[in-house]
Amino acid sequence: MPGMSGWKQVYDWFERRLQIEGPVKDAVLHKVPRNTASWWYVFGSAAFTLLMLQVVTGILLALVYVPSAAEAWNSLNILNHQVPLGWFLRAIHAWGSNFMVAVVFIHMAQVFLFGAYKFPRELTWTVGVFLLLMTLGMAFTGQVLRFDQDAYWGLGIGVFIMSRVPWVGGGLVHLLLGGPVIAGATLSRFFALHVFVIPGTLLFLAAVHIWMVLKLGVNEWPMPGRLVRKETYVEEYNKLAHEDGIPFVPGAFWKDLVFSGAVLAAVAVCAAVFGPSGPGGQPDPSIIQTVPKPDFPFLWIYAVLSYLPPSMETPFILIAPILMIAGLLAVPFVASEGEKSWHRRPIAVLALSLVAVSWAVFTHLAMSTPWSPHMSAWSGDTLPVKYLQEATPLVRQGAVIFQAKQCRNCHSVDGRGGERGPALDAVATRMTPDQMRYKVVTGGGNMPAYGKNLSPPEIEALVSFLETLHPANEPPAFDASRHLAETSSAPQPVSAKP
Amino acid sequence: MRWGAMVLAFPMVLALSGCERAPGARAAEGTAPRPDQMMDFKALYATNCQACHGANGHGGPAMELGNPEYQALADDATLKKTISQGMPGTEMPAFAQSAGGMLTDAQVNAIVAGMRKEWAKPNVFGGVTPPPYSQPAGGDAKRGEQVYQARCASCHQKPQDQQVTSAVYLSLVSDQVLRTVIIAGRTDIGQPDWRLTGVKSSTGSLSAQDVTDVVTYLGTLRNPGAVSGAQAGR
Amino acid sequence: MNPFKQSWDGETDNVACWVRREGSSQFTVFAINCAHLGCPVRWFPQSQLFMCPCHGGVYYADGSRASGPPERGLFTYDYKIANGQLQINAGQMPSLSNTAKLVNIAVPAKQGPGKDGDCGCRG
Repeated sequence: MPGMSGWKQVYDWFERRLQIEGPVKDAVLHKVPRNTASWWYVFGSAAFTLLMLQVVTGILLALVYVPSAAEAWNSLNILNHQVPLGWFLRAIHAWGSNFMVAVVFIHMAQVFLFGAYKFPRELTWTVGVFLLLMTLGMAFTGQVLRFDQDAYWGLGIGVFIMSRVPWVGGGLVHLLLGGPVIAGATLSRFFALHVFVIPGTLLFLAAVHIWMVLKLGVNEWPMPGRLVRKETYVEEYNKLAHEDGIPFVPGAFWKDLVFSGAVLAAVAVCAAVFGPSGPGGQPDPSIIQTVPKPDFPFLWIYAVLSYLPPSMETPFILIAPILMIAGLLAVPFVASEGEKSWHRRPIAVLALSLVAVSWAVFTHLAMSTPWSPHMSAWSGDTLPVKYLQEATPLVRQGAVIFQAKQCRNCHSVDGRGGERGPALDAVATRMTPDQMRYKVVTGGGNMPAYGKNLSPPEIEALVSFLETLHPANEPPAFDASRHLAETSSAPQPVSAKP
Repeated sequence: MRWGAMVLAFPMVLALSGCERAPGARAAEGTAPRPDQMMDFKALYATNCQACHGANGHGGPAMELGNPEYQALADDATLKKTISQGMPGTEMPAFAQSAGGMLTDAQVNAIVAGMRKEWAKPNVFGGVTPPPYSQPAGGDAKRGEQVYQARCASCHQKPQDQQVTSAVYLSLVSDQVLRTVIIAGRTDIGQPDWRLTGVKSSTGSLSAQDVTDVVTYLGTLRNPGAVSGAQAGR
Repeated sequence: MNPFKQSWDGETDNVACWVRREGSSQFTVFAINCAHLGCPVRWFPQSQLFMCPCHGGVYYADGSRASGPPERGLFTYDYKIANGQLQINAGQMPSLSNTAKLVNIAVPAKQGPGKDGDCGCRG
């Protein structure tokens, strides 16, 4: 064992050749404005910590994972069931991914709100936008590597979106899949993307991003009225950092460390409590009893795509991503000077709130998917017994029709069944029997026409069942004009006779 | 920094010591089964049958499978055939893959075995032999009408246009369904079996011939033209 | 019929489709993928409809659009009958950009008992 002086000799030998002590000291001890040592400034470092976590857990997963369409799914199940704590490793990687996407978005929102993208940090923001895209790319390709049913059909959805690009759509699909169908080559392609291409780019861009943070300094706490001007900003910032500054380490850094530690702990807790995600059913496309759903970061897209009118869809799919990315990239160039404080940037605050609220609403909707038919509701969701206890034979038979003809897949009764169409618990109070017949036969709106598929007795029985669907204290709807015609026509023969 | 390390280490230690007992480990247990490998009767029944036949075989709009008398009346071959190929003249669809459905033969067998295990009871007829399951040919519609008026009509009265005699209703159910319900009854809605126990004005069981004739009579009501023809022939 | 087939494709080379028989040797082979975003549609013989579990696209028995977000009917595959076997060309994932043609079938006046079955089309 070398003594204290022995270690010093080794250190000096390396330092003489690497000459890294100076730059590291500069980076560690450089002064930052005192007020940047805030709990609001911890998200960037947390995102980087999560990236490191993903790299480490990803390498460990790669020791077992087999990137072959025939074996990938099996190897994940072996990780889950046979490798000691393999499930925990998978869970950490999956939750790390969720947290990373979330933290990256929060970091971006915070930077936007604090005006930190303004001069001279425009390029930091631009690189950050690409980091965001890379993170989402990792999330999507990672979902494909899980190679279960969701991955298979999720890829299919990707294919259908890609194929809408004019002229080159077919070529793009071929490029994405590595062939005309989803198969072995597709998985190999996504493995290369997820393990080499995107992480390599991500690490490089993250290094550039952090380099600029160190060189340009951490953004000062925005004060209302303190405007950014290109001519004076750097001077003002240096003055602030030196007159009322603290060394980056440990002055601001300890909060980063604590927060990163807390985030890692949260990942571990989520992983231990909720477990890994999937793998779901095997990626056999002949199993069609599946309801594909994207992973959390993409749920909002899934929701948006179901609410767009068909004619808007292709333009939206093609144009919206370009506009979104262009908009994000343009932010620091449109507003590179001026106010940083959110107190004086109402439009920025409103825009951010709007984005956040719409994202939350769409994601929430996508979790319950009210637009999706429930494929096994017709055979699995029972009717409340009380509806049928006193029913006549015809009404009971109508209930059989209601179930067997898949009405339930889109219409709920007693809170069970699809939500694509309106719930029918009180349909008799809204529609007369004639209106029901018309609607069933002709369809309309989002309802298919059943005229060709139901016989007249089936329609009669169905309507007689629907007529019973009304609250006990509320009478069913009736046709007022017919009622009037019947009651007023009754006396006529009497008056006509004499 | 010690505090941060504690925060970090605590769940790790917890997860490692709790090892495979953490709730997340349970979430990772088991492999998502292929839908065609699912053999559990309760799960199969819940996804494929209960919407029409009711939770646990009772209270649904269609045949009461949980009625032990039904289980005693229908043999295995009948149940398998009905599930696999559906029931002509009714809404019962074919569930076997060979007939365009989603279930394998093994799953159909599992459903039949499960129904027997859950709902069949020994000696439900108390030593009495019920009329046979299948409708024999050559029932007498005229006699059937008399039996119906005498033995059934007192309960099956109102509303006329929605009763078992309504042509609309009858065109949606097969003779076999009518026969099965008359013989086995439905415990969940108070329809008595062929013995008519509990019916106030009852004068004892329906004979096998009575059942056949009533079904034949109801069958003639299914087609209004045939009914008027029969009436004209009287 | 997929020239790009590899031994490591595993189960992904089972491509499902719906076959509708319109006569003794007349068929329509529908792709399993919904024309909206490619989710697997399911056939319901009772109501004579194809339904998609994702965004609720619904198609009639002839593949034409009934309701929901799809802009068109179901995609079809080419087929031929050789030695009494139905051969289906499923070596291309259908999407809006390739040769899969618009389904445009006039409903035949006299329609045979349409039989739809799940077919595994191995490439």
